[in-house]
Amino acid sequence: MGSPTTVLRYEVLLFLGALALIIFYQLLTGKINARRMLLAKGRAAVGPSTRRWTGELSPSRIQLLVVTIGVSIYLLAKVVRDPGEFTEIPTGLLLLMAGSEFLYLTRKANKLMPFPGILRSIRRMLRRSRNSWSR
Amino acid sequence: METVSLVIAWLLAGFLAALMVIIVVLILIGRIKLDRLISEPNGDASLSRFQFLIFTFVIGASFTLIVVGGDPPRFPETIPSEIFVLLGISAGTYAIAKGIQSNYEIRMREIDRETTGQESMRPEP
Repeated sequence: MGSPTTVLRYEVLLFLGALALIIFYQLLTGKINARRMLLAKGRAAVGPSTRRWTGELSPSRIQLLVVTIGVSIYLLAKVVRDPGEFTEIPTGLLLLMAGSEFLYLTRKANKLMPFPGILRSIRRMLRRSRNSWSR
Repeated sequence: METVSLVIAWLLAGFLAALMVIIVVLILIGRIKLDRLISEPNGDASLSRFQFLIFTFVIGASFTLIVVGGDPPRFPETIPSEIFVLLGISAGTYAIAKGIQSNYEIRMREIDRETTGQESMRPEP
């Protein structure tokens, strides 16, 4: 048998692997609820009854999921290839992540803030200022 | 002295192994439920929670791999600030998304109350 540190190393790796597998399996089989995660929410997605969803897929959610998975795979691949130190994340990747989050949040805010939506307010303000400048 | 530290190290390793096995077994038999791990109070899944889960797991796993990968195991000398920025972006998005969702649900409860004259049946945010 190896030293305690070797045993601990394998214990931790096995534990993390087991957790990841369990969560992945439960997501696939539906035991962890992932209902409507990629569907658009808010008034635009609501059908004739306020309790029914039209099932409209949300492009902003899909792009956020894709970017998140991409960044995660990049990070893990870097660490597995060079487990000595944390890898530096390129600024471009951070900007991509921030842009993706911004897009998701502005779409969410615009859909869910009924009276009035943020983008509608900004558009209205810009229209008013444009009209006052043109006079 | 070396024998004592070796014994303590083995005891700790055994204790951690037992803890990990117990946690995994409890999850498998359903005593620790994960079904609402990424759910909102209204029952729908939240993408921002899912993203927070992914990044917490990835960064936590990376940190663990780096710590246990060394011989002897050691804390990394530097943690790039970009890692904290990434965690901050994810956590910030979760907080803002939760705020937007809560604001919406409060507004919907007010509308329900105004239109029906009774307390809304929607779950509290």
